[in-house]
Amino acid sequence: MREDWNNIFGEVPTSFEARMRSALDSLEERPKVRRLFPRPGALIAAVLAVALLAGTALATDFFGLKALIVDDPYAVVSATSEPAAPGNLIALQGFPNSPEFQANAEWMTYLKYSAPAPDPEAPPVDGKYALYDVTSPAAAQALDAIISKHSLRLHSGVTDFDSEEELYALLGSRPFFTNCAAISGYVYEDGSFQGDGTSVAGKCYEYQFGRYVKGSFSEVTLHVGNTDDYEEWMYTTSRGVAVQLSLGPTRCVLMADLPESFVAVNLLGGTRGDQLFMPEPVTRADLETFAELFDFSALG
Amino acid sequence: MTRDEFAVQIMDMKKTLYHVACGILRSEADREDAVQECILKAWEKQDSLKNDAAFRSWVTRILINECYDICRRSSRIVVLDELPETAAPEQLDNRDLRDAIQKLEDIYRLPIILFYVEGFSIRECSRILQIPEGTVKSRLHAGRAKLRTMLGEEVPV
Repeated sequence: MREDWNNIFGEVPTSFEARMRSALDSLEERPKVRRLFPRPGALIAAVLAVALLAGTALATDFFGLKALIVDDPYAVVSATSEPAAPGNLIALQGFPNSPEFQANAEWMTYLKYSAPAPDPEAPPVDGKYALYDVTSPAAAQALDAIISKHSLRLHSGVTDFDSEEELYALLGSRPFFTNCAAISGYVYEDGSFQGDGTSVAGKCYEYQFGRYVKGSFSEVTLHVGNTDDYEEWMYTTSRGVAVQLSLGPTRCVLMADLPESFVAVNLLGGTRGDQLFMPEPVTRADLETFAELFDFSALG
Repeated sequence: MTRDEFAVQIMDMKKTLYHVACGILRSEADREDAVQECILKAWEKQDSLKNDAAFRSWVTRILINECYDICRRSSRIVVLDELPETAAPEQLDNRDLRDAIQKLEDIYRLPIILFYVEGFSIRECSRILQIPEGTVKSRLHAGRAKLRTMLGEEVPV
């Protein structure tokens, strides 16, 4: 297991360690900086300004990312620093009124507050939970209760794919990507899938595409930072599908609630760009162009 | 965090930082540049660390950014198969596995190093790499499959 991977890179060279020590020696002690929060008045003014600039950001006929926030099981509160910003983890399986979203939200709450610590001595859990973060019989029981409550089923198998053609073949679907340069990932037995893709349309879009077939339980979540930083609106593609677009500083989210599945796409860039994937800023127009790259009607 | 406390935590991570740098950069000199910049930036920006418990993940993420900056600055998008043998030390316990990992594509190599070599959890890998947990799992799955192919099923997973 993991122990077998130890030392495969050998020892740290002395020159590397020496450079680390040199960098540390060059650091200057400094007074502790206290982070300041904006005054409430300033905060309200800022929110209103963002809302006005966003135009449709406060529309009530769609669910923004804030409505999709779930408990973050791994947000550790430190005694020595202020707590991490709350509510930065969202579920991706549906809008809040869907059983798929509610089930994942309840599962995250269970993992955060009730799941027992992993016990290395405990017997392995049933193989039917192999595709989920189930590490104890108690967690298996809790998950069973959640999926039973929401009438969902567990995934039972997964198959990798490395190309657009393989994906279409596994799904038995007609093509739904446009200008796709690369896509790879895995497909579940019911046609749900996760893929890492690259598409080119003016600029190079790097993204993670998720399709969640209704009726199945999925525990996929996404850290989106502060949901208040997003500009959000509904957009209808030229093929007539309404999608929710969320434009953030370093990532964007596209969501489409389809008859048989829910699609959530995580674009790895935003208004400030992303150092690793999409260094150039993404604009509203770019995000709408991105939405046109998918024929959602083929995904059901 | 005082400078001494910071230094202790950083030095405790030296193996992790070296392994991650090896996962992206082939030149020993570049790795040293990257770790130096990483340490300076982490010290400068430590106020942006909201959770001390996440220090290890946070510093690792900074290092990854520095490594990619170096790749970008020198216009060397690393295609590992085309590069000469790494300058890493020779006293390796499992040279075949290391070499196979180095031959993996970027998207598989870093999750493998972070999860198997460094022991980060799926969620920590997700945060460090800024990709969904499902994607981390799929990359680990695909990365293992590729390693098996390269090593003839002798992958300890």
